[in-house]
Amino acid sequence: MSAGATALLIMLAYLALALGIGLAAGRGRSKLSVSEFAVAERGLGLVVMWFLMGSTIFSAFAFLGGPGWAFDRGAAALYILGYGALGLLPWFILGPRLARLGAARGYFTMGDFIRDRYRSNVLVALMGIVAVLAFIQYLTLQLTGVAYIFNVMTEGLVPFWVGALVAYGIVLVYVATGGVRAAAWSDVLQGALMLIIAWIIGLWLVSYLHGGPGQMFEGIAAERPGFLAIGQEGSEMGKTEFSTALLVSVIGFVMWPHLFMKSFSTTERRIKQVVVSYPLFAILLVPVLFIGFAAVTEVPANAVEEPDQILPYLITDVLPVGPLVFGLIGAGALSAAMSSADAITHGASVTFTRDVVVPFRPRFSERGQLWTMRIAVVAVGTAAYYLAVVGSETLVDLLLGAYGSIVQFAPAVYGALFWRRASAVGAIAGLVVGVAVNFYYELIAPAPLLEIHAGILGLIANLVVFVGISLLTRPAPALEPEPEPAAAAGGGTERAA
Amino acid sequence: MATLTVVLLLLFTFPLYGIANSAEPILLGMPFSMFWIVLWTAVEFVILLALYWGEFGRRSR
Repeated sequence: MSAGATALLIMLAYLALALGIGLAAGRGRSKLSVSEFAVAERGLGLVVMWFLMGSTIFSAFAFLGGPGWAFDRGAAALYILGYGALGLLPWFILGPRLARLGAARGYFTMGDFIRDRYRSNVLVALMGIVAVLAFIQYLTLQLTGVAYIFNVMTEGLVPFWVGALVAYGIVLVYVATGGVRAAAWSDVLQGALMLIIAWIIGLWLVSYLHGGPGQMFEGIAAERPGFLAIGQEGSEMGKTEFSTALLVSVIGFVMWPHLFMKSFSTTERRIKQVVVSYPLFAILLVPVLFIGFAAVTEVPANAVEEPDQILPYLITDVLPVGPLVFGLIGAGALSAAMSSADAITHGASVTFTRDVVVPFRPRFSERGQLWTMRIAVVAVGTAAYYLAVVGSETLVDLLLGAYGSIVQFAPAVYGALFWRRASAVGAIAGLVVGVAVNFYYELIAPAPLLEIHAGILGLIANLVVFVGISLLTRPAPALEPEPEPAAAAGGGTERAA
Repeated sequence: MATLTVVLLLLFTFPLYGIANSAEPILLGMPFSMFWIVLWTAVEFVILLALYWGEFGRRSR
């Protein structure tokens, strides 16, 4: 049997095993139920919560995109560390307020909160549609990552389009059977395993190819001056581009509906614990970036079709390991990408059904909702598959693109919590203008204005319109005074029982 | 907390990040541009821990 076939066999066996365990753990429960989804996460421990919040980063984005950017664009990849370090900080302020409000008023989704504050189904539905579009880009990232792993780790035995199709198929099975959510701990184990593997590979590659990280970076600095800095001659990213990419990620991080939802199913204390422990993520990502840097002076850029293939390429073509090992590593990377893909797809289908469809069909039956969710899963997956096959963006670009849309929720969300004059009309107008500006600069304009990330340009327009129109229109009625924190904490644990 | 977020954002973006925007010196095996971010992330972690203990530390639960 060829090396590629051995690796493929191991990866498939691992995926089947993971699915089997998930199915056994989740038997008898339906994942396609909004309350089940929220209840499943209530009362989870700190470690599980940490990994769930980290799934945005702990996926194909970090394991393939991080090294890919370090290999291709050098210091540009450092924005990923800044994003990991700062992404969750705003949650320290938002999270406890949302947890209190959610406990007192029974929210499950971001849409429940927005509707309660602004009394506008139109706004909720618009945000739902924008979120689903961003989710599609984000799922494309995961499908592309899985396809790269299949393709390179099997030494080309599995073509890209088949790899992406297999990933899409697995997502469908995961979401339809509902097994994986029940086994949150298996997700954590897979995530931790992947992190350990990445550390071993990163440190091993550096010492195997260069002797040590110091020598490696000296070598890069000597051969490629400017590559390890931003906005200098020989750099691969401009100063404004770097700064605004970081800014859009930090503002956008907790605006993702599936992460936002976690505010409603946990306590203030847990939220703060997760925020405090989160910067460790950034530090844990350092050796992951080393993987990409190790290749800069050793691997010619044209050795891989796409920079994001650098991690699997290094394992199969550079490290002296056999097909057994790359099968196992491939399996670990696959499971990290698949569990994220699963959460994204589920988040998209819940958002679509609960925030876009149900507001306009209030008496929609439970059965009808379940079918809508299933159809949404297939539609979102198909769109993401199509983008993965025709698209040419790198994994990090895909996530940054999705952030351009997601960040447009920030004015409405912060306004809802902190600004009494905020009005529904203002929020709707701001969102529409912000999204339009973002898409114009992302898709139509030949070059970004002054190197500023399209999402930030959209956000500026969004904010101006939101504030201006809110001041001219009648503000939405303020929510009732917040309950005492102590009472809310109790409510938070009892509510979903 | 808002202050901490803004200060760190400023340290990680231009123009302030310009202080660190260079491969040299290489500290702890990292180019200075990377070391700077890791250093401030470690500082951030310590500040957050202190804030958390200040708020919850004395309560036993």
